[in-house]
Amino acid sequence: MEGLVTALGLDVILGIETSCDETAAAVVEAGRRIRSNVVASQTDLHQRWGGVVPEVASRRHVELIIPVIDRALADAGITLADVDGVAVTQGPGLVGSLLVGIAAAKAIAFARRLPLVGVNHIEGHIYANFLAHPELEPPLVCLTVSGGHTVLFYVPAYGQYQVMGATRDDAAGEALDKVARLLGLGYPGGPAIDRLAQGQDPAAYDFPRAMLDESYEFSFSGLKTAAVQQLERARRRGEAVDLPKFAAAFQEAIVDVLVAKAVRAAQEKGVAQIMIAGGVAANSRLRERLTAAGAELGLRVYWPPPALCTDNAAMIAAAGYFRLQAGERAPWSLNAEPQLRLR
Amino acid sequence: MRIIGLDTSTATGGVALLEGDRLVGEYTLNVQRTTHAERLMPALERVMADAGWDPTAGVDGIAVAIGPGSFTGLRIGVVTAKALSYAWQAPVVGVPTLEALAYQAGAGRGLVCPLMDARHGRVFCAAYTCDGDVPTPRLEARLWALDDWLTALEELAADGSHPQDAAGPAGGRFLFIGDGAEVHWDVLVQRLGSRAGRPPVGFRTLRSGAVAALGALKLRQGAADDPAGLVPLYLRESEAERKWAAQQKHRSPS
Ligand SMILES: [Zn+2]
Repeated sequence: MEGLVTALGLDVILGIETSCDETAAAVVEAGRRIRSNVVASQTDLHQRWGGVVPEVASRRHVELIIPVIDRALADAGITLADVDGVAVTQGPGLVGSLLVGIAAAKAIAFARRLPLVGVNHIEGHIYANFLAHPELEPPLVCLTVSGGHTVLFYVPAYGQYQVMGATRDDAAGEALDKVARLLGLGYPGGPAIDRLAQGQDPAAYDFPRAMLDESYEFSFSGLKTAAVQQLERARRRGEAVDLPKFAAAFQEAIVDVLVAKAVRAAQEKGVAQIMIAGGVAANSRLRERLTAAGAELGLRVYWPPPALCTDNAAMIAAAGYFRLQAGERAPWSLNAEPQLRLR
Repeated sequence: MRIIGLDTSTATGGVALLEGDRLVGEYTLNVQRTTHAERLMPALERVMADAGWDPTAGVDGIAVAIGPGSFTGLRIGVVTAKALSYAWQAPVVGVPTLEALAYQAGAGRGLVCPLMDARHGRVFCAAYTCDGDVPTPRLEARLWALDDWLTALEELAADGSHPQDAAGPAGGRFLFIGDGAEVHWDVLVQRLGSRAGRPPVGFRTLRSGAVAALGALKLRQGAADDPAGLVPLYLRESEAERKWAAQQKHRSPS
């Protein structure tokens, strides 16, 4: 296999990712070995608005894209002459942001006569786990949770995905961000809530759990409404809100739903492994609760290291590598697909 | 010297190839039902193949219209130009869209007034005098209310400090070019009568050949841009930034 890969000349892949507010480029070898992984975060830029402003993000990507690519090649100790293929995030994401990475990827691939492939961002998050855990192989169930997505997949084999359920409204990370903003914890809110909630009693406040019966769909918008109402009630009554306990209770309501559905999905599909992916995979309470729930049923739970949890281009290069190996090529007309679904 | 010209400022858009002083390829994109994202690179591949330019051989320079124009369109053109420049190690130069329009309008016809429609009675515009070289700016490129800009133009022409102003041989004529001139032509004629003119059909919106030619001039003058730092000339803040600035002003104690 090793010899075949080298013979095909598709070993070294440059990955480019600009789907939201991180400008990222990475070099990955043979789909598993990270040679470099550069992420320029725009978090500071968007803090004043408490969330990502698409036009502001797009403008920043234009400024950062070439320096980030240049840095990724330099960190890998190579030049464009050593690159065998280019993989770029095609969607889902913010269209204006996606287009910056796609335009750069196409121009580089065209100028250097390199094969190009478009990658689904969510598939990238799944590959972040494969990059981090060489022993991990399908079949498995994957819970992708971030500020942009909440999706539960069954992955029977490499490159095969069955969506079991997704959120009907807010993403889990979005709900955490919104409540963090209500509590004045700043942006991004997920990590702030996680920190504040450490060791707190999550039962001090009562939040609804939208289990939506036996389905694998999620709904988190009602949770945010409940938080607004509780804060409003406390204000009317002149009661002080215990922020750490409030944060812990809110986080617990989200974690409860995520854990229950992920475990049930794994049981239904008869798999022994669950992976979590996306920015919220860094949430310590989610990891702790899912690991405990899995252990009771003999399920192993995997998550990527912090640098691979959040948006990055190494995961895009890894996913792109397997698609390029399978002969997939994007045309020069490759366009952003903000609502791209995983097939 | 082989120069690529790219324009994605408006729905017109285009790709052109300039070899020395000769235009050897030019495609107009006209993205009404499609997008520059889908059309730009296929057009570049096609026009290069037709002209017999081998992509692996690279080029001597890339010129790109940097705006003003559609924010998304501009980003596609500018990023494509930056990345081509980076991958080919070829110099890149950003050409302001209004300046390229003025260059295209040609020499010796009074004040050249490029304008692009920005909706709600406003236009991105400027004024130049042209002599076949890099246009000389007379009114800075920015977002104007159409009426205010026309008043400024008349004042400028009346001042007569330049040979092509009112007192000069061109007799205070105004040559309007760009999609804004098409949208607002009736207003321009109403206000300026026979002093308002426009180029013949086919030359009223930006041709990528003009971007390539003006870019080549600038490159010869040593005006290459740093590909990493090149950004669109938006001439307008994002809506979020405008609202933020307004809020800050409101809050400030003075
Ligand atoms: Zn993501």
